[in-house]
Amino acid sequence: MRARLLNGPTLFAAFFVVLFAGAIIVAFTYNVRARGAPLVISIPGLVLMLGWLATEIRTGGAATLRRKHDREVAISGEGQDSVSAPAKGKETSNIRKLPVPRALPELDPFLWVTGLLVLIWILGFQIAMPLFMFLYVKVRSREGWMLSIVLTVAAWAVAYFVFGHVLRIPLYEGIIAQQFLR
Amino acid sequence: MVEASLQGLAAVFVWPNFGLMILGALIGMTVGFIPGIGGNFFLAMMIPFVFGMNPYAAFALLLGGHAVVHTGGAISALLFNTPGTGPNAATCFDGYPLVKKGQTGRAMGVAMTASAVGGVFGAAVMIGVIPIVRPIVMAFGPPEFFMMIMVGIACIAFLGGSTPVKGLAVGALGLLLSMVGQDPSTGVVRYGFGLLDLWGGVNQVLVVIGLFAISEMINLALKGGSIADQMAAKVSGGLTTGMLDVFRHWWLNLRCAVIGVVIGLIPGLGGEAAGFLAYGHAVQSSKTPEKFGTGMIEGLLAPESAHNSKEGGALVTTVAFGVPGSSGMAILLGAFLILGITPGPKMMTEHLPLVFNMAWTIAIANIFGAAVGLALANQMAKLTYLRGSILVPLVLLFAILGGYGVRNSMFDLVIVLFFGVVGYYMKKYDYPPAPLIMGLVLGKMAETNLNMAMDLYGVEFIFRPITFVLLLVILFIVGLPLVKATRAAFGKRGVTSAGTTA
Amino acid sequence: MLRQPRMWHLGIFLSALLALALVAGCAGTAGQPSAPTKSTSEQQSAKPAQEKPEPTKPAQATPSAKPTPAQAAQPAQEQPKAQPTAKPEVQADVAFYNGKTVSFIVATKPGGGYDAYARLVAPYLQKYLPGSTVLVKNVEGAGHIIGANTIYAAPADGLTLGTFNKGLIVSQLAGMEGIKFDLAKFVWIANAATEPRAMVVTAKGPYKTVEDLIAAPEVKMGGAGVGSESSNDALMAAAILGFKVKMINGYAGQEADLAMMRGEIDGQIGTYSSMKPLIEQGEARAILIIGKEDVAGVPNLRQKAPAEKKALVDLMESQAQLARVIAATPGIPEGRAKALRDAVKKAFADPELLAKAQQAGLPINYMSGEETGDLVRAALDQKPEVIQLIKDIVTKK
Repeated sequence: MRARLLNGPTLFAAFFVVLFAGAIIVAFTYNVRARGAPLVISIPGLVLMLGWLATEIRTGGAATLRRKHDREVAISGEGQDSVSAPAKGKETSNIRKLPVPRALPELDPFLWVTGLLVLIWILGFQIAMPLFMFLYVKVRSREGWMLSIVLTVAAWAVAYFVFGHVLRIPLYEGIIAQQFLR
Repeated sequence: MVEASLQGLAAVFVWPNFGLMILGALIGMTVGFIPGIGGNFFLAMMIPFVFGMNPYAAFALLLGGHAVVHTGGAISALLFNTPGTGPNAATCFDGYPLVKKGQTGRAMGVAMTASAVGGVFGAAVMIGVIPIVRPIVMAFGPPEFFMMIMVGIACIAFLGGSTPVKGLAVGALGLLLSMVGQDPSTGVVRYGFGLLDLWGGVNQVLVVIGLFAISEMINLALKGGSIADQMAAKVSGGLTTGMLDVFRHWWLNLRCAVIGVVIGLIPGLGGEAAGFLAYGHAVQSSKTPEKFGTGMIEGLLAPESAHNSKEGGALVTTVAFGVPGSSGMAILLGAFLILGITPGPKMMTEHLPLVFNMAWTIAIANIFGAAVGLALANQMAKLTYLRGSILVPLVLLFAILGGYGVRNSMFDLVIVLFFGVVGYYMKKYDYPPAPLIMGLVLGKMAETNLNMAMDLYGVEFIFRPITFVLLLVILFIVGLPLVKATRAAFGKRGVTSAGTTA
Repeated sequence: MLRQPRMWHLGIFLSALLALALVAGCAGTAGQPSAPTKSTSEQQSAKPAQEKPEPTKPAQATPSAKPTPAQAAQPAQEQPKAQPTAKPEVQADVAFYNGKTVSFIVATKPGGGYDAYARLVAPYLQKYLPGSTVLVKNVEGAGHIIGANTIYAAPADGLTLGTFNKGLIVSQLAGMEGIKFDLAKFVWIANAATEPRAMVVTAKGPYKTVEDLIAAPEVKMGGAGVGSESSNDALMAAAILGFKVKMINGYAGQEADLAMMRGEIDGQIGTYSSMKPLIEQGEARAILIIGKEDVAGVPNLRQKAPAEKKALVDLMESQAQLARVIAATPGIPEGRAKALRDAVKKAFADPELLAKAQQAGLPINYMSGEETGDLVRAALDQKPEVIQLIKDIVTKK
């Protein structure tokens, strides 16, 4: 029973349902004219997703996953789909992944991307970009020093020259610079 | 007329006009390539140089660049799933999957050629359409806009792939998302939750960057490998195959170019919609709609053609009326003033060679831009074979810069991140992303126009001639497959079939 | 066909991109005005400044809440903070700007009128603040509110100024949510132009005078959206003159022009200069002018308005007067405020700038910061019933 409810496809469908339901509820706080379109869209949307959620629950998520696999096989025609194909070469084995729960391996890249945003927010683009590049390429991907440094410098150069001088688009400087270095 | 046309053409090749056009095209493509900054930025950047130039030279520079912005944007869309400009989002739908299959060369061939063909078509039509532009623009008002957009929305139904329910639900979500922000008819800020940054709505470029680029990078980071994983597929050919593809599908190309011109011509629809409406049309008119999103050639060439042809259309209205068809045109209008030219009916009489020159410039710049793209294609394609461990941070930074560049806003990056995560799961659980974008682009426009139509004419707006015809088109588009499906279902009653029909 | 790429492929690609960008950039520096005193120092502001940043919080103590239009001297900008010079006559602290980066915020995305003025003046501001770098930054959103918020909340060091729509006066009066500024408290630098506004109607339509409008059962006016300038103006004009208006909102940019040509709507209100092409093409007829200028043959709102609506008329006129305002963060040191004001004043007197502005069709009628501030504060000082009327207008359907 738990497997039927707690698998990915089912949870995601449930998320959709909540979204539509929420939209409907909020729509009623607006005046009649403003709520019209949102309701016309969300109510059928809710109905559709409820139906789909029922399907997912019934099949325990297998419906989605099986169909997806079938479709990819049919399209690529090689019995191999580009999304789940095992990667070649040294990359997968060598990459230093973050300690995330086995059930949620995607947390690793999520955290890296979030980390990038946090870095930018604190340090500003000019510093965060090269820093992130270095951390990712050297620490996560475990590339060599030469490559890491070249890419880091390139990242810094793009921020400095392309955005700073050529386009003259001021890039966010980070709260540290804003609060303390003005 | 012919004389003026030849005069206009000759002026293109005069130095320095020619050099300026080349320069403009190169800069325009580069600006288009960089996500987050697009055509308007290019024009705003170039306007200061126009002071004191003669009109032919000025337009060589401005139009040379403006014409190819989307061509540059297509390159980043194809290679990194990061649209260089807003309309290039549609390029990502079927372009990137092609690249993933290792068919980068072919994809570039298709995209560049379709862009060139569309752009040239738009320029050619520009001349032919000028005499009749006024009645056309006068005939289209909010009721007609509403119906046209509904045609596009109806096409969303076809994007569901193997599970129409999911496609429709995602489309509904997209439509809902477009409602975020201040409603012009009522002033109410919907789904804003007190956040000022959401007043203007959720920007489509941000959603696409998140949904397509970021989610793809997350995938790559997780699974390793490179963008183009299947080396075997390169057998299906490269550039030339792609170029020939466009001519193989010439009829679709033509229809999409027409769609682009019409949308560009008629202000009030917003040029953004052109690529998406063309894409919707390609899906709906195809025999295998469920394959879209996996790398269908038609899906790539349709938007590319439309967004280059729309520039020709927009220029006509701007020149003939003095009313800009898009925000980019509004900036261009400023250039007219600087050069001392008043757009409007007078241009046809006083400056006819210049008008032809503008059309020729757009056409030739398009061809040039496409040529540059094609020349670089092979080298660019190599990037897609770079290993993910290096490519991921590169594209991430590229995409994040783009997301920031849209409005100089850090908040926008949160939106990008959110859709990156959502996009990852959507891909994992087989929800098609294209309907989301289409709904997002088309939703609010449809609602606003509906409100305006009702305010202006009441419910009778449906009976205006063009509106009514479009309504019939929608019924036909939606009705035909339904009828077929019902017939098939009834015909096979009692016989269980292995496959499922739509 | 495509072998595994080498690192040098990547190198070539990145270098090509950079080279292209640098070419564009060099072309970019060629567009600077004559004798620019461009500093050779870095652009980025994260520079260990020679000056210690002032204790920055914007002055709550700015005693400018009560506007008195009859103020002669400097508007009340005194702060109880440490001043470099506590002399009664304040020196313009131009030296501060040497080596600094000034952000000129535009509350719209690139390419509109406000953007055009900003980009026009920025290089000259830089010229008259020797050693500085002035960067134009587009901060759009929420109908100029986000941009104005940004200027207001910036550190009060004199390195941020910007331009936004004076329609925010009306928005502030109506108490719109999301407003985190008080227009009365901004350090007003200048007003670049005055632009009379015009109400136009379709040339082929039945209305020829204001009286015709008043007599009509319903007048369809086009606007951009509820709460936008075009909509507010139309509704205010209707409230003043007493004609029955039906707002059709949703026309972005110049779409209302086409709607008029189609006969879809009866009229709209916009700046006179933007309506001129329509008038000259014979598509529209100006039926009313709002502003201090008079246009031959067209009645002015002042003449047509009943006496009891004077407050609203003044408000509308001030909107026409304050067409292109420039403001800086509240609480900046007086010396720097003066430096900014002086530099902007000189910029708008610079013959090169004026020539460019004329070519570009951007009118310039310079108004000093002090005068601008007075006008703004006067406009904000309204009686409760007027404020209620404005609230109704701004949020009305």
